[in-house]
Amino acid sequence: MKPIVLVVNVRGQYNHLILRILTELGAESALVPLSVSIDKLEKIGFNGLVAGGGPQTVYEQGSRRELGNLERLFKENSKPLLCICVSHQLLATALGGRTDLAKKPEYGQITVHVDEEDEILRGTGPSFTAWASHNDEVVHMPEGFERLAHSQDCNIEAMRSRNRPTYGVQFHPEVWHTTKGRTIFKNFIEIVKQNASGK
Amino acid sequence: MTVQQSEFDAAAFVKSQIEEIAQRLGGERAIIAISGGVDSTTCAALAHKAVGKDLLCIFIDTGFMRLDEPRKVKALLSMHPLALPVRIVRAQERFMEAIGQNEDAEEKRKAFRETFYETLSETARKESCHFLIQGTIAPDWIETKGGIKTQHNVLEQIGISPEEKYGFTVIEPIANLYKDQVRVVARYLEIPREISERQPFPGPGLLVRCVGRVEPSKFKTLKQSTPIVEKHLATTGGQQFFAAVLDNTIEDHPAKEPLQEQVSESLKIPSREVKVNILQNKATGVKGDMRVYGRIASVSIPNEQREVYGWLIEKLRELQSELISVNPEFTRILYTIKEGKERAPYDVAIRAIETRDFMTADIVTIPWSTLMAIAKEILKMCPNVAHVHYDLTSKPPATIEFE
Repeated sequence: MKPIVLVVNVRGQYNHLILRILTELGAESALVPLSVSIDKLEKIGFNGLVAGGGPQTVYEQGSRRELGNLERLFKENSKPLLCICVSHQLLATALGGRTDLAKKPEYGQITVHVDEEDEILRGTGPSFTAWASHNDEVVHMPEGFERLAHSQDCNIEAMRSRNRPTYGVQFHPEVWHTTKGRTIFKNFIEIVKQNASGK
Repeated sequence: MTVQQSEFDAAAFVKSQIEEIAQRLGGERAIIAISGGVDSTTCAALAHKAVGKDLLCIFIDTGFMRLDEPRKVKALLSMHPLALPVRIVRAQERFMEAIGQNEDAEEKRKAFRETFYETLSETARKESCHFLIQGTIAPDWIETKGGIKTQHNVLEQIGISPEEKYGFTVIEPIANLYKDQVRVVARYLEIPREISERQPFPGPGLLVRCVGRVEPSKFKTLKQSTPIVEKHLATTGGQQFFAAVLDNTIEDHPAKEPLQEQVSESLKIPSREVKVNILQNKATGVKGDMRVYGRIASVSIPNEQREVYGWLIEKLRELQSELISVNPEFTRILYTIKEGKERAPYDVAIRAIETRDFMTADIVTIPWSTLMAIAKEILKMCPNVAHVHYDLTSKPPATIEFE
C-alpha cells in the first residue's frame, strides 16, 4: 500500500514541489491548508506530514498568529514529521528553542556538512550541495533535539528529536538543485512506512 | 547536468485532459491565446483534439515580441502535424500606450496583464467564445500568489473573477505541471521540436527585459541584442538565455565603497583596480520566499587581472553570494565583460541559467571567449551600449527575468 504523506502549505514558493517529489517517489500526497486541524487530518487518513517553507518571520506576532494552528499541529501530531525552512524555525521555537535573524542569510547554493547520518540523512554524508533561501535561522534547538548538519554560515541546517520521528531542515530538499534532496525524501518515506507498519 | 525525467505518465494525462476539456465546454466555443511557446501550444493541441473547430487560436501581437516572431509562429503552428488555424490580433499601440512611462516592474506587468485580457475579452465576445483555455503552469500561479511577480496569465488564483470581469470561464489544463513535465506532454503529442524544446519566453515578452522605462531607442537596442545572444548561446546557454537592456545611469550610493572593498578582499585584487557601479534601475528578486525589488551592482576588474586567474567564474559566483548575503538591498550582481563608449545611454546584460523547473536556477559557466564574442558583436551593432555584463546571480536571490 502507498503511504499517505500530506503537505501543509505554508505559502512558500516550493511547497508544490514537495507534492511533486513525494508523488514521484511513490507516496500518495496532497496539499492541505495552514488552517487544517489534526481531526481533519485524521479523517483524511495520513501516515506522515511535511510542513513547507513560507515568507513568515516566526518571532513576529503577526506571523506567529498565522502559524498558530501549525504550531498546535506540531504538538498534537505523533506521526513522522518533516519541517522545512520556516516550519523548521517554527518547530524549534514552538518547542522551546529560539529563532533569530541570521547573521549571514543564505540565498542559493550552499554546502551542507552532515554531522550525523541518522535515518533522515542516510546516504547524504559527508557533505552535499543544497539550495537555501532564508533570512532567519534557528539559534537554539529545543530540549530533546540534536543537530544533524550545519553549513559555513548556518549552525543548524538539520535537526531531529530524540524522542519521536520529528525532523527539521533549514535548506530546501525539494528543489532540483539540492543534490541529495531525493535521498532525503526517500528516507522520510521509509520512516513513514516503518512507522505505519508499527516497527 | 542533464534534466531528469520524472515518472510522469503523459499518455494518461493527455487522455484525461482531452475528456475534461470536451466535457467542460459541452458544445460551446473556446478561445486560446498562443505565443508559440511550449505551454500555450500544448494546451492548444489538447483543446484542438478535444473540440476541433470550436477552438479559436489567436496570437496577440503585443509589440514586445522578438524579430519577426508573429509571422514565424503562425507559420509553424498552421503546418502539419498541429494544423492549428491562427489569427493574428494586432495590438502594439494599445500595449505601448498602457505601459506608457511606467518604470516600476510590477506596474508594467499589471498594465500588461490588464491590456492582455481586455484584448482577449473583446475578441472572445465578438466570436461568442465563453471559455478561455490557458497555458498557466505551476510556477506562474505560485509566483503571482506568493507576491513575487505578476504573471500575465493568472487571475482566479489571486481573486479576480474572469467571468465577471472578462465574460469567460478559464480552463487551465496544465496548471499543476512544471516546464519539464509540459515538455514530456508536448513530445507525446508530437509537437514539433522547435516548440517542444523551445526555451521559455515570458508572456510580457521583451517588456520585462527592457528594465525600467521603455523608450524606443532602448527597446531597439534590446531587439538587436536578443538574436546575437540567442545565436551564440544556442547550444551552451542552458535552459534559458537572453539579453536584457538597462539604463547606463549610476547612483551615488553609500554601499559602493564597502562593496568595492568586499570585492577586492574576496578576489585578492587591489581595491583601486576594482570598479563597482550601482545602477539606478532595479530588479526583481526573491529572498526567503519574499519579493525584493532590489538594487543591481556591476563589478569590473582590469582584463589583465582576470587573465591571471582564468575566467574566475567560481570565485565570482561565491562573490555574488557573499555580496548579496551581506547587503540586503541587492538582488543582482553583474560582471562587466566589455566596455564600449562610456557615456552611451544603455547597458546590456547577458543571462544564461540552468534549471529543471524554473523554481530555482543556477548560472551557466559560459566560456569566456564566447562571452567576449557576444560582447564585441553587441558593441559593434549597437553604438548606444556602454557596457556588456554577465549576470552572476542565481535564483534565489534573483528571479530569472529582470522584472
